[in-house]
Amino acid sequence: MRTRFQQGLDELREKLLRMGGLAEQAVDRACQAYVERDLKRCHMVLEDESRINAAEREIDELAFDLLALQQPMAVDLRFILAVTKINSDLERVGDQAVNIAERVMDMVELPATELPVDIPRMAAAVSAMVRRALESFIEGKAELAQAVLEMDNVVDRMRDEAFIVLVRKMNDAPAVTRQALDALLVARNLERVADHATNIAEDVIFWVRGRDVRHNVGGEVAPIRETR
Amino acid sequence: MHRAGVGRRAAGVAHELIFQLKQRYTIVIVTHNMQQASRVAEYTGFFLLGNLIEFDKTEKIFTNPSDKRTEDYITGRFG
Repeated sequence: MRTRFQQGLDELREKLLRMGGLAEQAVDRACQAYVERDLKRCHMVLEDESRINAAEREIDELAFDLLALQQPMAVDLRFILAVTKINSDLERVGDQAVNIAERVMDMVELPATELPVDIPRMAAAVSAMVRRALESFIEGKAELAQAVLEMDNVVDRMRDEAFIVLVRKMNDAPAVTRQALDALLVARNLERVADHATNIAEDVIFWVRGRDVRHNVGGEVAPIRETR
Repeated sequence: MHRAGVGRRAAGVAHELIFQLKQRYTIVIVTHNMQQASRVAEYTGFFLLGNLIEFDKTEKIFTNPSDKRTEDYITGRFG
């Protein structure tokens, strides 16, 4: 019985990692599509999203079965709860990638213009957050997850800066307002992806340490033993 | 209280009785049944080979026990 349960947990972990890979890929493709004004990549993002949605349903079903049939306790219970939450965050990461792709589809209809915002730099920071959040899940390490929480402030600042310079650009050059607005929305979508990466990191900390660190509740993280 | 071999309905009656009695008495239950312990008890102690390994609020024992041996037992990794 327990062996089957362990197999179920392993399967859940593998499915979530595959889904994480898809979500990461969707964001990277959407950002490349933005840089290269590439419609083909936009369509690939839409395909990624439907695979992500299918993965979300599969993971929820498996988690539901394990909860109902095995009545997991302690670290196993925390693991399954964390997986279901990470699952829904990854699905939303996929949605944000689609939002970016849709902005790009709008952008390519308009004349290309130079904008005072470094979207690739922001995209690199956001991708690193998603990657590290998933690494912290693979390794079962709360320290890695903690590092992701600290990166969120950097991305928030990038979004704020993008907002300031792009609104100024809209005032100074109204002819490129639509392009500037598209870039602003892409920056906002990327910032949301970073928020989901933060949520994933918080769920990893909850699984590993049994401590809820959301909304700055839970205080300083104590050096409780690591479990996998 | 040891209730090996008691059916589901009888166990339900016993739980109900325990809930009534615990308003006035302290009740100690010895069980290997994790579900029973987690449903009925306010505090849970884990004994292993004659030693008390951990004693805490039931929510704590079953969601985030402090001792690895408690965790290994309640998650079915041994025993």
